[in-house]
Amino acid sequence: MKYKQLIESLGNEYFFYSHNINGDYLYISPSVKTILGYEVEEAKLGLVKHMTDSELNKKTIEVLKKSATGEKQKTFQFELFTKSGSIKVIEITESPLYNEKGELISIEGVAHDITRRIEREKTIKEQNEKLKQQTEELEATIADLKQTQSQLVQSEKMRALGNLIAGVAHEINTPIGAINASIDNISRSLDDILANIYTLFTQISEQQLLAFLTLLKMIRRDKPPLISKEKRYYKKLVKEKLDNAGFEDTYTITDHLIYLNLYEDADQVIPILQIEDPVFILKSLHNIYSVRKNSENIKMAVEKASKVVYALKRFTHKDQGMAKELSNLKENIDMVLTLHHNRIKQGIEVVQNYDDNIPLINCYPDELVQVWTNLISNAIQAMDNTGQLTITIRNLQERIQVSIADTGCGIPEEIHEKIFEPFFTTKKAGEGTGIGLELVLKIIEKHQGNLEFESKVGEGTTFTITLPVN
Amino acid sequence: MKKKAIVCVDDESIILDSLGEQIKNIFGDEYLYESAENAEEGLEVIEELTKEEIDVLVIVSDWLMPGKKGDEFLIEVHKKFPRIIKVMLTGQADEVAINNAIKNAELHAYISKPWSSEDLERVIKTGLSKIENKG
Repeated sequence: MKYKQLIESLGNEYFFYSHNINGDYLYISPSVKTILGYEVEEAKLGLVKHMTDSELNKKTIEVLKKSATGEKQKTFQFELFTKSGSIKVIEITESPLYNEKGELISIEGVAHDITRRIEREKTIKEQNEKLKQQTEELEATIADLKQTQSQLVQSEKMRALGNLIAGVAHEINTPIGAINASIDNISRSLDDILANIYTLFTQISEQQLLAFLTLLKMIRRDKPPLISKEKRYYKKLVKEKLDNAGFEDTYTITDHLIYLNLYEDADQVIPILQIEDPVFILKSLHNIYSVRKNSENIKMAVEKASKVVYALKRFTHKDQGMAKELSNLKENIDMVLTLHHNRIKQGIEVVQNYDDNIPLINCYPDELVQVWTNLISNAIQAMDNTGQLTITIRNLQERIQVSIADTGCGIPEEIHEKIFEPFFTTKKAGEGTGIGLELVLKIIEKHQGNLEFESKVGEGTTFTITLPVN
Repeated sequence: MKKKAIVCVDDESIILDSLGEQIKNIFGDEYLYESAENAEEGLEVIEELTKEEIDVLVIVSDWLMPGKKGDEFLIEVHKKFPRIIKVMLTGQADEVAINNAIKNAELHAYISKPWSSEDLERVIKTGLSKIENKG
């Protein structure tokens, strides 16, 4: 019992015992009472009978049997009922004791109450489990959020696109309508020529033929088309001259002369028209010239439609590789203006202050289109479709500065800090997702650019973006 | 006999030119054709023609134009010239605007772009017969 005193001083957690080869206890230290609640004498009657029937103890009994034969065992654990009925986990270290002859005389053991340690370990394990579960939940939530975010970005794009489509429908239906009508006009003119060709070739007088050929040569193809106001001015002027010259049906003759771009040549034309049935000659010329006039109209309509389609194609163009490319910022911005043309023309004056020497910049052009789309669309909305939209592009050598200024309602001071927050919107439900400006900021950051704005309520807002050239 | 006129209002010259020629082709020299590029000019034209004792019978107006929209324009026309037949011709159907024009301008018909000459002819002819029936 070398360390008896030492061990007894550790009474709160340890007790010490020894038993002979028959299992009779020779000694149990008094701290057994502190730990298990049994008096020393009571404990000496045997601790094994207080063991619970746990799986752990079944193994422990095997270890105890081996230990009792003098075979040195590693530290082992078992569970015991205390006197009060609670369960304690005891860790045992036993060692055999031999006499000089080498005979086993007793087994000495140190019992360590590790109940609290086990409980702590259990708690830690449980907490670890919980943490692991929470981490998994968080990961799932993040994945969900990412998914939601990309859906929102998508729906923001779709909303912007939806806005555009309504306008684009108008922008495309207009030239198609014009083309359709022009084709109809050409067909009718040709039908009319064919119906009258015999008369024209055989029945007209020499004078009428001369008038026909002279006027045919006079048609002013190079004259620019008149706007409606000018047309009305010339109509009055020409009609008055025709009236004074004593013509009948001056409304019809006037219309033909305007149609043939002869609106400035009335004085020369009047003597030529002093023939029998001038309307027939003019009508014939009209029908021939109609093919050219309507073809020109179709050409203009096609150009208009192509411009819209091109802009639309660029807008929805998705570059899967997502590599930066050298792009022309002016074209990039003007394309967005084309797409918003139908909204702009309702009452917005666009001022374009572009420096002449803007270099191509290395960027993601499709993403920048989204930036301009958002900012221009917001500006139009802020101005309630009436006001001045000023777009400035400055060459600052290493960087290009773009500013988009409106004369709209402005952004109240108290929400200045909020406008880039996701889901913040001042628009009515359904009009905006509240991530437009967040998207703008992200795209600018991706370009290592800079975004600032100035705003005064009632005066307007200016967004200024600088982008590196390289 | 008093001259009769059909007036078209659209901010696109390609429409005014092709539509005007088409109307002339359909209706011949019996009617004058006048055009205007916006609502303000449209009203000016109607007033001018009226002053010249020309009877404006039909007005065909676009909806989406700079300045005043088609429905507001037709309502204004209706207030000053209730007898004129009002037709809207536009590439973008705005239901609210159409209903507004039906309710407040007695809109005769709505044609969407692109239109067919048959539709245009039918709409204008039914409009004209309305006037004749009223005397």
